[in-house]
Amino acid sequence: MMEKIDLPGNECETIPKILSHGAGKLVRTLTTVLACAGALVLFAMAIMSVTSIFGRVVFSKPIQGDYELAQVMVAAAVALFLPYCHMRRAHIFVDFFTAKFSSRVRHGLDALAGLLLALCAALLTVQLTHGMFDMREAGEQTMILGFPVWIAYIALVVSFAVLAITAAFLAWTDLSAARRPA
Amino acid sequence: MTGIQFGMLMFGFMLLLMALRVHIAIAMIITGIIGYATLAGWSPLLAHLKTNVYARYSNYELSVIPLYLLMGTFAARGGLSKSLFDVAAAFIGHWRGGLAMSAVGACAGFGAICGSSLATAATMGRVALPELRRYNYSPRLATGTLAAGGTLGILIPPSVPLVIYAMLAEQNIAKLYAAAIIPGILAAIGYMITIAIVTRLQPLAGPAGQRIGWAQRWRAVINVWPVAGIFFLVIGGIYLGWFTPTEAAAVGALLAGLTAFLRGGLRAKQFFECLLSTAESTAMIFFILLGADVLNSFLALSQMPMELSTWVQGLGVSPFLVMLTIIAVYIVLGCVMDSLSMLLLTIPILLPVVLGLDFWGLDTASKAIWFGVLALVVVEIGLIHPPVGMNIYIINSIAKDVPMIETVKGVLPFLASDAVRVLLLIIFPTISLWLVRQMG
Repeated sequence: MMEKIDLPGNECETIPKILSHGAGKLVRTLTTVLACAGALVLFAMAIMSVTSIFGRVVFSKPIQGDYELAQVMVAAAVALFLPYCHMRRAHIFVDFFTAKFSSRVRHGLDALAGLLLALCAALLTVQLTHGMFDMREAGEQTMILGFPVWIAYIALVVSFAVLAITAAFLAWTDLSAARRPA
Repeated sequence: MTGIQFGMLMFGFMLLLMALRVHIAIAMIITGIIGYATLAGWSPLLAHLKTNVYARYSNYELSVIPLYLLMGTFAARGGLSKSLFDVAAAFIGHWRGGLAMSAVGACAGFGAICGSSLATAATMGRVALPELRRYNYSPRLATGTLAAGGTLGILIPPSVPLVIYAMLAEQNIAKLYAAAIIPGILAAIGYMITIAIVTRLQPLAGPAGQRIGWAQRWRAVINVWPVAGIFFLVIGGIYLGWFTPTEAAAVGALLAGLTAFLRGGLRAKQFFECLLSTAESTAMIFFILLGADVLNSFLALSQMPMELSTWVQGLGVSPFLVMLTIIAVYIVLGCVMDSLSMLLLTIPILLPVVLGLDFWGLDTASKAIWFGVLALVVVEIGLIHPPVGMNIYIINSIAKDVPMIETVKGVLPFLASDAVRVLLLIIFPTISLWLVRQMG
């Protein structure tokens, strides 16, 4: 009854050499751990929603503030997925115009793209950290549960920091690939 | 410099970045940052960047997306794609080209519980391609059918691009789903007719399969009941007022997971594989959403969308000429870009243009819904038209022995069917709007 299924991005993969030892292994482990944590949060959110529906239908008692819990959980989960996706080089880019360039030129452009990604992620990390402190000082809370919003920001800050590190690391590997004679 | 000129300049800059392999999301963010800072200064920009990520990612309407993706991976794990193909093949597999039509039917069925085209193409490709090849279908027809059939994943609700359109256009997702259903079914029928025509012209391309007895047919039908059940809850539950779309998707994801578990396809290892695959595809989408958010805050500041809309109205050309131009723009963009990026880039600019023109005397809300379905269909065409249709790539990576050019040729008849459908949708808005009006 079962067939073997590999969805896109879930191919039976061989781990690139650069990601299987030293700093590369650290990046791979870190991003995977964050993604698993995020995915478990997402799964917990699904269970929470269903429990709340069940409570609403059967006992006319939904979980208090279930929508805002869902919002906080999904925001954290989605952010935690970002570094993993980049580690797998799955963030979308356009290959069309450069497909015919030599592999060294492509690696060079990829190094540049990775650097830009790292810079943007770093800028967002800094601004999100400011945002986190602002939220804490202002005492921002969700409407019903009074959940402090700055706590959700921690997941965002960590995610974008790891994204910046991952991007910088991959940009560096691309640069070394570009400098190696083909 | 007017808003249009500055907007166009920055747009050109962004497209240049994209052409040079900068990630689409990052090209949008950089363009947005530079444009925003130029128009409003750095400190409002930095203040905006403190809160916009959380604001975007905690949007309740968007939280449905990762759940749809999770549902799709679980459903594939549970072998539901195979059950769907088996049931279709049991009924029409003995027709000429019947197995290819079965693949289209199964894609439509899988599309009813999966919101993504790529996942539908990948899953159905793995299930149906070996069967089609076993019955000596021509590689061209087999791969073309599956690449085209994959698009039914987003044409038939649930649909991730429609969720995004609903957010951009501030329209009700339930109404958009209602509007998409009939065009989605038309798409499946159109593809089946295409297969019938192709196999009539070249009978060897799609030989008939075995005729199957009624006992086996009913057994196959029983195997697909989870699909029907999940679709009924996820889509039907929204209209019956039982759930919000997000809750419905949570129910669907857990049910799909439970089905996969009971069928023996989901143990701890596969469970984490499904979670990580969901993580990856979710991150792809939400990274672009973030980029589009930064870009669109700049576009809103520049007034470019409104100015463009006024300018187009001032031209005094026929609205239908404008619509055909818009579709041409989508086809060209579809040559190099994925469907979500296209929607996120174009809808904030083109929707005001469309709403500013008169089409068949439709009111604003109807126009927005009608255009949403149309935009969905044309960005979906981008998934299968050369040179870089993503579905073509995916199917081709599964059927490794088939040259890419064969798949591209195989898709061409289906593109003709798409073109006919786009024209029908433009000329008869009722196709999209009838069901919406029935809802009242």
